[in-house]
Amino acid sequence: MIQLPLILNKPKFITTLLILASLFACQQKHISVSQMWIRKPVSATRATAGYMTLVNNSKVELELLKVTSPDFENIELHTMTMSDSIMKMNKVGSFKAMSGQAIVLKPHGNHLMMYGPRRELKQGDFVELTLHFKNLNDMTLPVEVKKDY
Amino acid sequence: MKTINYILILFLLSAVICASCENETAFRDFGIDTTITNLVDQNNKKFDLEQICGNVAWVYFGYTHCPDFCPATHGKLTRAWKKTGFRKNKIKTIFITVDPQRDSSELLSSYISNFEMPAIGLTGEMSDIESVAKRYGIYFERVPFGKNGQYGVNHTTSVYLLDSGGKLRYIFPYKASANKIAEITKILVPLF
Repeated sequence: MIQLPLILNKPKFITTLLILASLFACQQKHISVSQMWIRKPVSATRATAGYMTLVNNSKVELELLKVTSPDFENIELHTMTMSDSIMKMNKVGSFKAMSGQAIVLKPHGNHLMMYGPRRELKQGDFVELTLHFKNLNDMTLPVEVKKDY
Repeated sequence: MKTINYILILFLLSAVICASCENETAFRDFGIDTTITNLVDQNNKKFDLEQICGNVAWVYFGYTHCPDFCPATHGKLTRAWKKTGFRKNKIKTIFITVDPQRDSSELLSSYISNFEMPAIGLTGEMSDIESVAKRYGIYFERVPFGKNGQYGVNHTTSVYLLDSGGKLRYIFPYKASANKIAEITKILVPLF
């Protein structure tokens, strides 16, 4: 029987390797993705938000049309604006970034509005998100669930 | 030499006066009616601001299905609360829902239990929520999103600091850090 080195026997290490490998594979030549995370839903609630930065390295406009996940009932693209301490969210059809610019989804700003988690999400879990673009192939990414409260 | 001493004393005195003036202007009595009536807490018991008399309070409005500001605000207040040291027992957090349709006492109880800081979650009839919100100058508006009747609520994100007598003395904007909230709040906490 072949004995694996001790480090490779650790499931967490192998999971991390797989995630890193899939992340690497998901980087399209024209888009680089960073700062991806999903806020751990506060228990008993049915909504949360997801964040990421997509840098458009191509020569043409980048347009994110929708995001889907087997772990959520539906996901919308939302803008968030602040005026006189009033927060307003609006659903939009897409997010765009010109060549060299970025689509930035971050707390207290534009975000993915994620409804109806289909399983209990714990800190450190990974959720599969598929990003659908105009004129580009879909991109599937593992995104970490983080508790920031 | 005497003249220099006088100038130095005058300078120090004016610095002290200016510093105290700054504190005076930081706090003011907004003169609003902070009464909270006809709402129930997460244990489904009637709540009255009188119950927490003698404590300072952070009051903010939100809803449990809020994806961003509300969990972030509650998290920030929890960090601020921890920074207040021995004074933290004299600080009460009141979370008033602007979404009473979904936010039952049970849901508020479950929501609050996610955070280390103890808090009071209030819900009630929409008309009573609207009355309290109006007194505090809170805007909120339900907006349809998602599928099957899902919706969000746009709302004011400020945190209201009440003194131990229930008077509104300071309004923290959403950008206020946990450190700032803690430092300002500590000044108002009664020591005895």
